[in-house]
Amino acid sequence: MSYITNIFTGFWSVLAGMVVTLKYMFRKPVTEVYPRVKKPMFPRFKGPTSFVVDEKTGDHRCISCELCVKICPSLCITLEKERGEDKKFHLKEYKVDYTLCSLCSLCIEVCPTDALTHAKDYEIPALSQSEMINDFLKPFREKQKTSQPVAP
Amino acid sequence: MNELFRIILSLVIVIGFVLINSLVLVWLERKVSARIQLRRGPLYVGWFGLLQTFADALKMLGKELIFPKNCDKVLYFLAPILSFAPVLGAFLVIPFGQHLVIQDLNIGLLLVFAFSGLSFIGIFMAGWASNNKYSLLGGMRSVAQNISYEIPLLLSSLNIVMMAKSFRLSDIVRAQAHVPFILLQPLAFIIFITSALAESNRTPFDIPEAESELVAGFHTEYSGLRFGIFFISEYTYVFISSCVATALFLGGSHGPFLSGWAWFLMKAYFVVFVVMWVRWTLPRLRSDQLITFAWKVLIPLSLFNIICTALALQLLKQ
Repeated sequence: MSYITNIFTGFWSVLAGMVVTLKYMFRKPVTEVYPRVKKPMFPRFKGPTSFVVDEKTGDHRCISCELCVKICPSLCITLEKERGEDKKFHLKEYKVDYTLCSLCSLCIEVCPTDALTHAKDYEIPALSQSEMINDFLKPFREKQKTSQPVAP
Repeated sequence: MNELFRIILSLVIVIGFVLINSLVLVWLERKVSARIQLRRGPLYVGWFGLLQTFADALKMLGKELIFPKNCDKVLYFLAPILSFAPVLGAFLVIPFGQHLVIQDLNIGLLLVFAFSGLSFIGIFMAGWASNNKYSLLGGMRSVAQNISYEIPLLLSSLNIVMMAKSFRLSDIVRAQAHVPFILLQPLAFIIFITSALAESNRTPFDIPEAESELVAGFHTEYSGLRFGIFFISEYTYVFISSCVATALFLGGSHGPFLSGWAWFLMKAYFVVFVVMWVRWTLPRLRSDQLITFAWKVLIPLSLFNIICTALALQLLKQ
């Protein structure tokens, strides 16, 4: 008797398993097709640090106070400034070496004007160390070139 | 002369069909396995990754053909050919449509089984000639399995022969013009599919080529095109088994609206899909469980089924 019940339970369990796999076949795949479809990063993602673009002026908010340079534990920020004719400091160069940066967010917390933030970018590999030194002023310089053509 | 031309033409068509078919089946296998495991499968080469297997086949063509040390060179060379050629022979009698048969022999069903019985000789030769303990184990298992499962395969198709009163496959298909035999013989169909799975070395009966224990079994030492031929013959064998299952149980080329060959291919590919579905659902059986299952479950059940069919036929006649 157990012979026949064995056959039936075995057959039944095979059928049950097949139904489970059939259900899985019509589910949505969980695989991300990554390089073709990029995923938007979640809001608190800590990417590389970068300047905030000010909504009013369209420029950065840095006042060259050098607090971030002083607090940085890995000494990865280089800042150059010059005193303008209005006796205020103007930023000449702001570079971060990402080979040193540990994304500790101390520079962001210390900034008095909230000029720094974490970018949502996650594709920042490079082929050489010199490419890992990021010039923060580069996008602003390019913007100035396009928006304010030199008068003849 | 006309007959010779016909044979050569059909041989060329069959070989072309076999190659394209195995490429498509490998693609289908990868897609089905991917979807069951919530993956996506091949995507980028060609339309939905259809040309992915073609790219793989091209890669395989460029590989070096290795003769392992101390192998039996003649048998090692012959084994892939011997496992592939009988599969081509089985195409001789498959009734793809009403008149789409290469040679409608009156012993068609027996011929298919005879040819499929030959293919495991190639597998055993491959296992023996490789001079490798894993390959030899795989070949031995293959022989044990094929001999055991050939019996329920033949016994279950005997029911159909009794009902159609002919070994000719086109006669069997014609007998199912109104009712496909799967409705009258569900048990025989299940036994047939199970033993066909075992005959074509598919999971859950793939112990001759178990990747995880025998390192691909009989074709461990094979590389390049020879490995590819083993692969093609396995997939063609799956296709042949599902073609025979279609002709015997699913009504062959009968169906409304579409023409006969379209119905036949649709049914055959559906059976192939079921075979793949089973493969990605069930785990591999142990060697002793496998032989026990054949001799203690499948053969008694198919004998019981034959007795029932004979009784029913005799009672209906009176």
